[in-house]
Amino acid sequence: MSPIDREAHLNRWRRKPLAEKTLLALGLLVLALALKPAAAVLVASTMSAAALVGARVSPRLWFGCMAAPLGFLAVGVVTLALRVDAHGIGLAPGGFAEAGALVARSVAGLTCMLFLALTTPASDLVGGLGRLGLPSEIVDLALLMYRFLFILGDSAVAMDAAQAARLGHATARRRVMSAGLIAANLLPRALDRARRMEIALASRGWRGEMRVLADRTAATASGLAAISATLAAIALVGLFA
Amino acid sequence: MTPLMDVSGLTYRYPGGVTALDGLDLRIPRGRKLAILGPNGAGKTTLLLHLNGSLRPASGEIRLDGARMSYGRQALNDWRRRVGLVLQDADDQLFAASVAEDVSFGPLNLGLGEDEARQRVAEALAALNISHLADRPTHMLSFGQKKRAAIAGAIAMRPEILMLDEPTAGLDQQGSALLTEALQRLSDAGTTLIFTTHEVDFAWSFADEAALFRNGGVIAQGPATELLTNERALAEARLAPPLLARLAGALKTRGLLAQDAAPPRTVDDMLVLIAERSPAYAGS
Ligand SMILES: Nc1ncnc2c1ncn2[C@@H]1O[C@H](COP(=O)(O)OP(=O)(O)OP(=O)(O)O)[C@@H](O)[C@H]1O
Ligand SMILES: [Mg+2]
Repeated sequence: MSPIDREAHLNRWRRKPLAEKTLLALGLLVLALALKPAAAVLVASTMSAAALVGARVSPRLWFGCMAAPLGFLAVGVVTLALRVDAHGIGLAPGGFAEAGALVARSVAGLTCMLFLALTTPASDLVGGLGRLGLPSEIVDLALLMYRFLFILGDSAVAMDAAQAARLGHATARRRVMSAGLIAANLLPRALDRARRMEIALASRGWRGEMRVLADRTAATASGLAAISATLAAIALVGLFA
Repeated sequence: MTPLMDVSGLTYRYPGGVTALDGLDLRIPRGRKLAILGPNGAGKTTLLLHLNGSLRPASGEIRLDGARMSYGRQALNDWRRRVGLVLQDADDQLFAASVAEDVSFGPLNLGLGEDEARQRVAEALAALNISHLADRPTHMLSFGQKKRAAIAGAIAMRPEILMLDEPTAGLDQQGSALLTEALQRLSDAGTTLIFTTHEVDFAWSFADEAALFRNGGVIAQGPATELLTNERALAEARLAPPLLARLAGALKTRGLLAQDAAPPRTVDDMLVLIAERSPAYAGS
């Protein structure tokens, strides 16, 4: 099971209204991209604080998820800050300022996306899109795929362990062959699963619509007010600082 | 009295050639607990899939309350409303994001309102002792928890007949005991139970009717206490007699139990029988 999904289900803000979480994250994302880099710094700190202090996302996972994108960012920054020409390597004019802005905006954007991913399960997000008018066929399909992903993921993990137990990973060559076998096996398994799932759905009275009682918390006035205040404050700082 | 369900001459061949059911006959008495026993590949699962219309037989018929079942859309809906099915692998039937959401699926399909559905969900979760898992995503449950969630999903629809494919397989002792209690409560409330199992001892203690399967057919059917002490029939289904039945038989031949003693279905029954026969034991 993916650690991101686990965190999304277990964090303290799991039950916070979807509308509030998305408004906060997407609102801050827009501010970070539209305003001066100073605002982006504020956005990154606000999002990190919300995730780590508010939702109590594990810091290890939070920074772990940032590591890979930050690596790419570092490479990009170097090429912005430096200039290579006939005289050799030197600092690009204005390169530092540009690189700084890029770092601030990217990190801010990253924290917004991570915040959403680590506090809100994918199934909630898809359900939300459904309420916004995405056709129910697509929503149902996406939710089933979400569920399927874990079942197939579990089978793949189990098959991998079974292969390892029978020395399927003994050499690099075997490892590649074993991985190929898993890939070849997952498709028929998926089809078989799908068939049995169809039987189960029909047995439970399915009539072409996937209705369940979702315990949604509606957005609260106080929550929306707090989020709007945060957004406004950061916007003011970004505009006038 | 006509049986609640009557199966006759059922034949089914899977695409690809295996004849899984071969002229199978079975009576399902009303309000009882029917255990279906038999070796791997005997056709037990295939039969359950026929009993709620998921598979359609090549020949033979199924009667529910005397009426022959048909396979039109509306007929199938009514059929499945009355006959619930819990598959062997719970992963096949849990698909919603959380346990409570999943359990609500059936009741909403029955057309119940939100309040009533919510009530049913709470009851079903309580019946299986998983109320504390209501908000858990279904992919973050242990095997036994998934199994109980799947069963909750079926009982929330309050079917007249509940079919379970190997309900106790893979459950720990306590899980299995809790499940047995929950099923007993359903039975007390009038639900007819049909379950497949490989555990003769479980069938002995819990079922009141049994059917032995072999090669796609029923080789014997009758009251559990009679059928499960019939060594010839059991051997034909490649089963050994239940431990308590064997023990009672051995004690009877040695005169340690009354010859007419009722078959002990639980260890406690057995102790009572022994105490009746030897006051010394009762006094100790
Ligand atoms: N999807 C399928 N396609 C083809 N053949 C199948 C399929 N499912 C089952 N069979 C075959 O049908 C026969 C009966 O299978 P079934 O699953 O009903 O047995 P069972 O009594 O439930 O066995 P077990 O105790 O192992 O669960 C077996 O020979 C099996 O190989
Ligand atoms: Mg089976």
